[in-house]
Amino acid sequence: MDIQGLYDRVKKEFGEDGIEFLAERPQPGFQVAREKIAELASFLRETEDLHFDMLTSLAGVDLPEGVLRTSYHVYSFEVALLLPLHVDVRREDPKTPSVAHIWPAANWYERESWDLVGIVYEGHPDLRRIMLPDDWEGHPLRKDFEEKTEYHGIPTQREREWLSWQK
Amino acid sequence: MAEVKTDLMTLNMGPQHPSTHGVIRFVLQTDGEVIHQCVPDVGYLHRSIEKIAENLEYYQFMPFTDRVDYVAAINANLGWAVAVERFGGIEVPERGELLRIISAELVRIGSHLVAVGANTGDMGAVTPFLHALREREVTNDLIEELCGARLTHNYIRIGGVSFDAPKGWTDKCLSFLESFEPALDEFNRLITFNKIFRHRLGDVAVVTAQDAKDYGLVGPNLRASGVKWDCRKDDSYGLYSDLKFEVPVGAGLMGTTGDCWDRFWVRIEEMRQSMSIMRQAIARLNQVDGPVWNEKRVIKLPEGEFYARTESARGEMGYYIVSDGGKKPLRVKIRTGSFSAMSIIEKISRGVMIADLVAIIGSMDIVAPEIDR
Repeated sequence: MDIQGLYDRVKKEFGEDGIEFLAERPQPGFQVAREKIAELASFLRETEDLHFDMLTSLAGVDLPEGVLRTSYHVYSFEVALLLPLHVDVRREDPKTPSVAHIWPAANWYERESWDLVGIVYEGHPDLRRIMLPDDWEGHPLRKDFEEKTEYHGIPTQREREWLSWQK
Repeated sequence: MAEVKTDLMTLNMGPQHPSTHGVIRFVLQTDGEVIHQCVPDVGYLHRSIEKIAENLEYYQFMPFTDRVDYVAAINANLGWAVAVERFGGIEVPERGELLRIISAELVRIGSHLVAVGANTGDMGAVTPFLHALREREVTNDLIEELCGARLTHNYIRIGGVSFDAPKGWTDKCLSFLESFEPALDEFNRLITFNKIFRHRLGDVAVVTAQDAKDYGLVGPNLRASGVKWDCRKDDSYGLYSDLKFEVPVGAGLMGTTGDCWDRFWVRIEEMRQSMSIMRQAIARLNQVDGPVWNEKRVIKLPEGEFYARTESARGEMGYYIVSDGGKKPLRVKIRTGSFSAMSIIEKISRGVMIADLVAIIGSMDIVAPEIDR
């Protein structure tokens, strides 16, 4: 089964709304509305001959124009297909359902995405920071993140003049 | 006799602990010697490499990939190069491809030697550790001759490799392989089939195939659970599809499929396969002339996103690149094997002894900077 065939099956199951096929992209995938992601995830995982049971990667991305995206890459050993799924949320309301109960690997990935990009995964069993200290402020992988000048009295800025060529 | 009131004790293991393989902390709830719950705490080595990538051009990011996984740096280099090349449609000369395979497999042997050696060292057997590091030293010397660095190689370039092999280098590789084969047999006699060691690792912390897939285990950890899947074969890149090699899987020789001993054994077997791959690639390299690097001064990728994966020593090394069409990426996400291996530890360490936790960490071949990036 190729990705087009998979989309036809998903369309038959869920209808046209909320799941869009991105055929023109460098790597074709599905654009999924956040209301549909948990439902689609359990369909992909539970269906007998699809069995997308490995969540290979989950990345939070801060895109221009206030969009925060979660990109899932799920793999099925049965149909040997890597499927990219993208869920976009607005920066003002960065909430999307958690899929940690469907793919256990999502537990840590969602914590990482919350920590670094600031997307809230609703229903996650334990949404804590994972890389940064618990009292850290802000989400560093957002484009408008500004480093504080000190952390608990430790300066974070060194003499940076010599780095000015980067600007 | 009056009933003794017992309580769980919280025990802190790490971040500075010799057998956690780097700066990782485990918070244990113990009931005597038995672990009731083990919560891994990571992030001590977070250097924000993904943020740094957003401020650099594609080729400038290459030295940073070394620091993602310093035990098998060329494999991390290769993942980045393959991701950018496949996204941007950049061709690699054949000689460059072959040198990539030879160096990547040489580093994989070195990395697996560290993994199995450190695992035996953690179990209290120091001599095999030194045997493993003796062989690993030779791989480091060979790589140093190739690119000048012993650990952070920065050898692979987008579109090829930085240097051609020096004269006589492939012969040195072949003579190393010649001597390494008996050394590996000696290592097996010394420790792999040693009765104490077998009992120490066999049947400990069994990961079923379904659990391994659920938690996203990759590479040798996945194959030890009996899943025959290798990026080099099933999602092939470079010239790997032309080469013949087997994919070793765990079969529960000393207990149950997916136990610590299987993870150890899969790495030993993979070293033999890497040797065979190196021999084939060297034979082909000697017949191929030409450039090693299709150099491009400015690399611009098309707008969109791309995920590409390669087989590193610790399994699938995936780079997810989001590009806006410029010279710098919008976002880079690095997917590493150690991160998912860490996330399963909480599940499989329930009810094991504290000393067995050390066996689990060792057999998973966890490299701390790879978790935190």
